Amino acid sequence: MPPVVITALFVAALGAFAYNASRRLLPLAALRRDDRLDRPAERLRALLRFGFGQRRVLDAEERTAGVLHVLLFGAFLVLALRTVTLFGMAFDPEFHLPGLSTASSSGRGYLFLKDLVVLGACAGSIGFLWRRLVTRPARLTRSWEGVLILCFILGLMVTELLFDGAGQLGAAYARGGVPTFDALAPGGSLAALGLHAAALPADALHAIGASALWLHLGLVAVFLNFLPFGKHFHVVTALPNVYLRALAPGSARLRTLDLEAEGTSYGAATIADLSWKEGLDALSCTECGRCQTHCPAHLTGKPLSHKAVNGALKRHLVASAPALLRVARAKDPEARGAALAELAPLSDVVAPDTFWSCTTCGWCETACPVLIENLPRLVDLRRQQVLVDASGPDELARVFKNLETQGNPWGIGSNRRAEWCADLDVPRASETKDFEYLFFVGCAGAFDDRQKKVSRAIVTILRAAGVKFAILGEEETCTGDAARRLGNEYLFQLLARQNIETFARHGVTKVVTQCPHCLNAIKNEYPDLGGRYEVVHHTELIAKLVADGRLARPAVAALAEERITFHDPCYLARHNDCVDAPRRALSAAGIAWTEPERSGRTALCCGGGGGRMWLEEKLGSRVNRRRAEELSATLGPNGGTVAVGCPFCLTMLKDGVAETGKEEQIRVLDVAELVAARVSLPP
Amino acid sequence: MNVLIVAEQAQGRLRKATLHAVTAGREVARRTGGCVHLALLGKGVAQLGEELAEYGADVHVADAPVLEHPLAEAHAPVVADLAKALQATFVGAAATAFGKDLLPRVAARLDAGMATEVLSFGGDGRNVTFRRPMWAGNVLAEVEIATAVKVFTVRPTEFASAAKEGKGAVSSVAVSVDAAALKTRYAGFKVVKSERPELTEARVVVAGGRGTKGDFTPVEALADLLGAAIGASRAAVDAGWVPNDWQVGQTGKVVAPELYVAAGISGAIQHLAGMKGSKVIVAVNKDPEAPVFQLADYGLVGDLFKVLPELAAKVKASR
Amino acid sequence: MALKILVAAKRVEDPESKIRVKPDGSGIVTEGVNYKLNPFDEIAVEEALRLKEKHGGEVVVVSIGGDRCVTEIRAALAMGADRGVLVGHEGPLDPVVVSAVLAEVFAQEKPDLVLLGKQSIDDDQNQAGQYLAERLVLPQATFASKTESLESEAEQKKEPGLVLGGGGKTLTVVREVDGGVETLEVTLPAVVTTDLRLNKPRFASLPGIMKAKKKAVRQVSAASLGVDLASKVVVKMLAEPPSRKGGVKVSNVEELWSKLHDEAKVL
Repeated sequence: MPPVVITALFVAALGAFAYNASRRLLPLAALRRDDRLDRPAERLRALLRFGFGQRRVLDAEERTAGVLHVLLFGAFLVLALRTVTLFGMAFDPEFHLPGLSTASSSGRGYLFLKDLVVLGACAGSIGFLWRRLVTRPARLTRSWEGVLILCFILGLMVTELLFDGAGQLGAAYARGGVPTFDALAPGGSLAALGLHAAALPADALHAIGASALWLHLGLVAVFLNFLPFGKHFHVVTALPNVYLRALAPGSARLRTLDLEAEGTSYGAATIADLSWKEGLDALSCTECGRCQTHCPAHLTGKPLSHKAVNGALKRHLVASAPALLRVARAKDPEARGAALAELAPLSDVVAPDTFWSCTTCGWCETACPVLIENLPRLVDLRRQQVLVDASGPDELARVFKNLETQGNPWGIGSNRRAEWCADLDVPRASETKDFEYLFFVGCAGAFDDRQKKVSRAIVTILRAAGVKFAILGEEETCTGDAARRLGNEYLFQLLARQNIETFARHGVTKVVTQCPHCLNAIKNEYPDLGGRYEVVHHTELIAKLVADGRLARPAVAALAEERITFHDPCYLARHNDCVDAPRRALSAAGIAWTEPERSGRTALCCGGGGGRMWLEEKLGSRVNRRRAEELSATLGPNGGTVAVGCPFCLTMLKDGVAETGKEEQIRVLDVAELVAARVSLPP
Repeated sequence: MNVLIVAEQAQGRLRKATLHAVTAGREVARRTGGCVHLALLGKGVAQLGEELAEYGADVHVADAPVLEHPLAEAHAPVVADLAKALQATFVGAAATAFGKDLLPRVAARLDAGMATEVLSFGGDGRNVTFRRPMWAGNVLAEVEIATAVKVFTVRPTEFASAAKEGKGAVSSVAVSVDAAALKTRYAGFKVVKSERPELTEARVVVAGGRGTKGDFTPVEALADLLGAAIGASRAAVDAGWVPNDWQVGQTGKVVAPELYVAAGISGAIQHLAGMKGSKVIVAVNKDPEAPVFQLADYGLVGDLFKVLPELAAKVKASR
Repeated sequence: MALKILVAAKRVEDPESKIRVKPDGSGIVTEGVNYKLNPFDEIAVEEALRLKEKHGGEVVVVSIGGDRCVTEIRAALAMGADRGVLVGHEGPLDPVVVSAVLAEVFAQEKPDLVLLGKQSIDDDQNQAGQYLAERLVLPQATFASKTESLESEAEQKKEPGLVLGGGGKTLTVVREVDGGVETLEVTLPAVVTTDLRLNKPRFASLPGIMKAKKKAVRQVSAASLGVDLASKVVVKMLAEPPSRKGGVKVSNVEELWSKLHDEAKVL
């Protein structure tokens, strides 16, 4: 084939690809700025671990699919060089990249590797086709696109093998011999053997070789140009997306808005209010659907699928590209405003029922192999409704009013916040400087009759271990976690600043909380507002006290009378990476428990997070009931105890258990209550 | 010192609340050594005036077309002028919608201070004091009115209904209010039929929860007997036993009736948030540990299917 | 038919905060107590905003009290009111004094309509509006309400419950009275006091809160208005009612009945 044609193909393919890819990527410049180039060492580590290391892809639950993907991914990486070589060989059959000539050992080494990955990719494609067409796992959306791509890949591998095989066969004939299996070129030699067995005439052979090359190069050109249009754009964007990830604490720390600054966007009114990274996220979604497998909203029939949200945003981004480009190029605020006005409201693209259904449990972000950030954009959509439109679910008005006036969601008098310990003589931070830990009780621990018992159990444990602690009493106010997650950033900042000011006044440096939501807010979100403390969850503190010998295991052996299981709180296990501490706390009390089917990182949410505790659940079935049923199955027909570490979980599961009619058989208790009942003072 | 009590009538019938106000008036008269006078305003109320006189006080009837409807703008000048004519130091009425609407205007005309919803009196002579609720009844205040004339309205339930005692004189009061000059026009009245009162307005609420196991008949029976509204806990609503708008609680309706009966409701904080403002809370539950007993004024550990019908029987018997 | 509306916004104790009386009965304990806008006044503000949104005009919020009252004025401004007036006054207020002050503000502002909550939840006197109406020789319509439920479509659409008519000269008001619902028509200017079921107040949007910070609040001292500020209804002594003996367990229905009938007097 004349060089002109090859060059034309090459230029056309690359040119078209560049054009289409940039059409998708350029509009991102119009989206909100976000600095993702900081802390390069951490980013590189993430790239190696999650990108090249395929860590999430190889998740234990999805091992088979993971391995198949690694085969394909590995093939892509290794074959990049091969593809360039093949293009070169179209010009000159002797072409090789520097250092990779077939004569050199590195060249032969590469060819060996190449053959391995080609065979691997064949296996991978066939395996995936089997899954898509025969096994059909629930999380996959079956589409012609997926099948087509797999066929492309298979085609690329087969044409590579044919070309290589034909070449090797030709070389063997030229030497006057026959092909043999070469362990250092397994793929090519097997193909050569196959072609030899077909006993084709010389020109047919030559034709096969040449057309295999052309077909291969043609497939590369087509495949390349297919990428920008579908979910396979992730081939291009996934690794950068991982590098540009949200570094710890990730979505556990939501973006703090500067409410005073002129022109601050208070929420996601249009797509232009999302960050460019969120735009890239939408383009990078592989539609694998892993975000759905343990999503509490999705599992219970709510209209929320993060995969679908990504798809909707992507399509909207592409459709809005012309308007976004005008925004990016606007010279003055007026032109910018005019261009922005052309954009559709984002709540038309992602419906309110969708974004209000999320409990912010974090499973989707834990599972996503390309580290897409699903949660912040949903909160931004809520912010738009709450802060700008003053709309949103009816139940919000009362909760916000209560938080604003009395500093707790139920609106109970704030001067009653210490009634739970009226008889316990607990020191107040306002009265003494002699404390190590501030025990941040939280609203539930102060006002909810059931949770007050947990607060008291924690006091028992702290005293037994001789920990010097104090409480804020009436000076404590809600951390604002629920307000923030429900979109009321203003109220969150109001409450947070109040707490931070109180902490400062009393010289608080270490905090222990009984609620993972309080923990998360104080530990991860208060620093943005100037409050930096060492914060632990009560189970972490218990585990530490045992490790330090300040809390002893009970002298009596653990009573095996009852089955116990542990329900991980989302905001502890996922958002704050803390799975061991509650378990160590339970062990410390000599308690043996059975893990539920979904535990630790994959634990199913109780349904109370994301502010949903304060909202009516009108769609689908109940999340708490779903989890209660799971836990009930773990405990078995005789029931037992569910141990929890969060007031929301306690309420939701207690209600869930009652809904299944099992309140006689199943108790829900906090880890602190179980420990307090069993630990003794050190000898 | 004379006491003028403003009577209230509707459709030619005396409102019961007036008789309680009469008792209050008598008490003030006793404390000050004065007489009780009654004012009756309306159209075609002469006969009613005679009836009212049977309560032993002089009745002053202002009968005029302009007074047909209870417009404060028209009634206030008549009452104020009468008070001046009688040299009444005290002017009072029952704290009904009529009384609360009218008396402050009367007070303004008389340059008088006023105490609303008085529960009892103290002192005597010039130093009569008025005891009234503040902060939604969380505080009881004893107030003095530092003007020459003192106006007040009383909570009817705090004073007994007056008994008839002899016959007072009935006299006519000239009415000089110019109907054409009035800036208020009466445009209609609709009787609100209460088959069952609205949940947020009811004086009594009977609510059922999981303990009813779906059978709300004892709850409904008691509610009907008491003319009460029916509420429910979230559990009952979620289970589909009762309609959504019966839900009382954090995400449902917030109610503050005089009496709230919680039957078969455990009292989770979400529910309490919706009814903790109730004046009197009664809890009926099989579980002695139920949190609702912490909040309830009166708690009965028992089966609501027995307790509620028994209570209903007691109520019926007392009528 | 633009309307200029004067609305009262009183700063009151939040009833959720436990209200305790000082041991000597001279007042209530204010430490640790939270304050908020009188809920009935909030409804009045909401109604004023709806009338303005429908007919055009201006909503002026007035509060009487110490400097802290500006918080409640700002809350009303955040909902959408246009400007505020703070009449500075330390010390107790009774309806006689309040109405005298409001009468002066009325003379200064000359509104078409005065809206107040029917009562404030601290003193529960339910007099200021009526007293003011008589001082100004204006018609009054108290306990303004609505027959449509607060879940209705009209409510969702923020329709005002007070209906302007007669070429902008009259206002039709539906009132909750004993036994039913009465309709009155008053000529403007008039004084209307609001009851609970008139509307569901909006909650302020963040842009509203931000804008409110820049809206004008005129401060004037009560003394400068030349009215008699001496209280006419003087609180001599405060006491707490016999405490609710929470948690009394009765053993049978007989006992329950007698408690409810004789002790609590609710049945």
